[in-house]
Amino acid sequence: MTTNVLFVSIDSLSRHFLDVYPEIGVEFDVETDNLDRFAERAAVFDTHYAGSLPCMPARREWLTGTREFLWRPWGPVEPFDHTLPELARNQGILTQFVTDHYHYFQHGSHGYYEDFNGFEFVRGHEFDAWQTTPRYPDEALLAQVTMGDDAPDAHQSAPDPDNLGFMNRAQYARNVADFADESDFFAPKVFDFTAEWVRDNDEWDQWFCYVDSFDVHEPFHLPEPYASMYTDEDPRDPDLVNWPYYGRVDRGQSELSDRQLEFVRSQFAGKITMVDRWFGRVLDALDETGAWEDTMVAVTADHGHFLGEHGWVGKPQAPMYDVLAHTPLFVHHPDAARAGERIDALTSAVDLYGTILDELGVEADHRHSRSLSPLLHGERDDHRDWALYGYWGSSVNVTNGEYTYLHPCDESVDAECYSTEMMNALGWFQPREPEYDAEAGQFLPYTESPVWRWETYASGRHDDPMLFDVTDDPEQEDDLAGEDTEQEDRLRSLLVDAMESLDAPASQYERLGLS
Amino acid sequence: MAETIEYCLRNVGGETRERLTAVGADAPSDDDAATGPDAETDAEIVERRCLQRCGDCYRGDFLVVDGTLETADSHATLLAAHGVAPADGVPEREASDR
Repeated sequence: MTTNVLFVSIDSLSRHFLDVYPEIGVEFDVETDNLDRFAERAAVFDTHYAGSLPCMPARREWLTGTREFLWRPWGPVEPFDHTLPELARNQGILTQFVTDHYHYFQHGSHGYYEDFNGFEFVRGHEFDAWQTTPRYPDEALLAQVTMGDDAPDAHQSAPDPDNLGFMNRAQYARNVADFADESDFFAPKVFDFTAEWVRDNDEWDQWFCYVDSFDVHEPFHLPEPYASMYTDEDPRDPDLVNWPYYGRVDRGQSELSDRQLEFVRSQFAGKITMVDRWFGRVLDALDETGAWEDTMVAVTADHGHFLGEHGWVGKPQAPMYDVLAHTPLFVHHPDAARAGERIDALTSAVDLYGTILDELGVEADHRHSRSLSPLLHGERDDHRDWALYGYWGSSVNVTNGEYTYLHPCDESVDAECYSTEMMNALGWFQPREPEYDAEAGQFLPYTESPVWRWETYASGRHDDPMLFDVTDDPEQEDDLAGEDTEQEDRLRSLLVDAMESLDAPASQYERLGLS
Repeated sequence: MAETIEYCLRNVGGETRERLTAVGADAPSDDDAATGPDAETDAEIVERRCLQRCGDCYRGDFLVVDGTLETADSHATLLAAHGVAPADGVPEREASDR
């Protein structure tokens, strides 16, 4: 029997907000009835880690099997990549993409959707360059998408609707100006389309459907009943922010009052419940069509989102705590020996590429990916000794599943960027610019293709190594670096082993002070 | 008196980055109250990989001072308004040069 694959990403879904992962928990009992019922039939992965962050680097891991952050940041599919939809359709498998993730359509992110037989793009999320009217959107919402009028220093002003520069937050207020009902919002449209697609496409012999929900990503702007589900505040109070800037919660432009932070957390929880309810419609469609019997369904997230944990908000320049890096993963497979069980083996985002290829029956090079299929089918219990994760040009982090080790970089040493494109290594969303100092050559270990190589600024996250025992201390409150030197040395050696295994550039060792 | 001056990594040239790093190292902070009276500013100087001000960053030089966007024709002008002398040899317009 052929196997279909339904692969669902829920952006920014912090696993500690989910009942399925109760070891940390939050102040709300976040309603996720549908993720819970899906988890009952799925293998639930307890030790799954992000790889390259943030959004588009994670997509290149999933769709091309490339652990990219050692070589380049946010950017396009490369000519030497082979995407899942390209490989699948070449073997006669129907491919479909459903998303409201507008980054696929911005500067520097091409190549990810073009290979699908069909794609549905739900417009309008975050900065999506969609609506141009009303010129002057709702003032209360404009206040909420910055910091609200109740910011600690009352210092934030609403975005200027007359400013036509890139990435003006007034864009979001325009995009949602005509939204009246819950069904007008983004996750409802994405999952409703997906449910219908599952119902309508059972005549095809085999399919791969990739669903990439931008929700639960900010802005945390919600319809009722979700907006009031976890707060007694008036969710349309212009004093309350629904789109905080990234950074420290106690200073600078990202500063939040206690009241604001509580509200933001309530809206994040509400967004999870909204996504869950509409995701349930997809589960209903799988029930009605009987597609469970021949379909693998994987649900994961690219990363989490800080909401006050460790004093940070967003995806800031913070140490790579597990809030961001330790991600949820559930996989249903009709023939899986491990269905309904917990899997504690260490796994990594990039592994989904090889898994999906294997389950579709497509033979191709897995590059940096290691298929999870042997785990799912009970053929083995262990999977990998290390998982590397991080942002390009910043710290490099490793876990063995028991400890996490966060290794700082030397900010004074520039980082090397490798790509066939001269993307903006630091300004991902802005128009590209020539890199006049770039040189070309065969610099990558996994392709003979020449690429550009140039240097630009590195950015640090912390000055000293950090070490956490995430088995006993899942919230990472007790930094053991300098105390447990045996484990620190062990994890540092593991980091070097992992980098050597991937044939990381020599410059990485210099900027990280590793040998 | 400014309390926090934030700048975007992409928005500054090498000289200004070095200057801001040096000024930031001299400024008093909760962690280092031993800074002497010669510090040019009491503000905490914070480098960010991205301040989510991409449109303003693309257009020109900016700082975020106590949460408020400040733009000018150069970082030297912006810093002078907060009592910080510019770095030697900083060009008039240096944003987007990296």
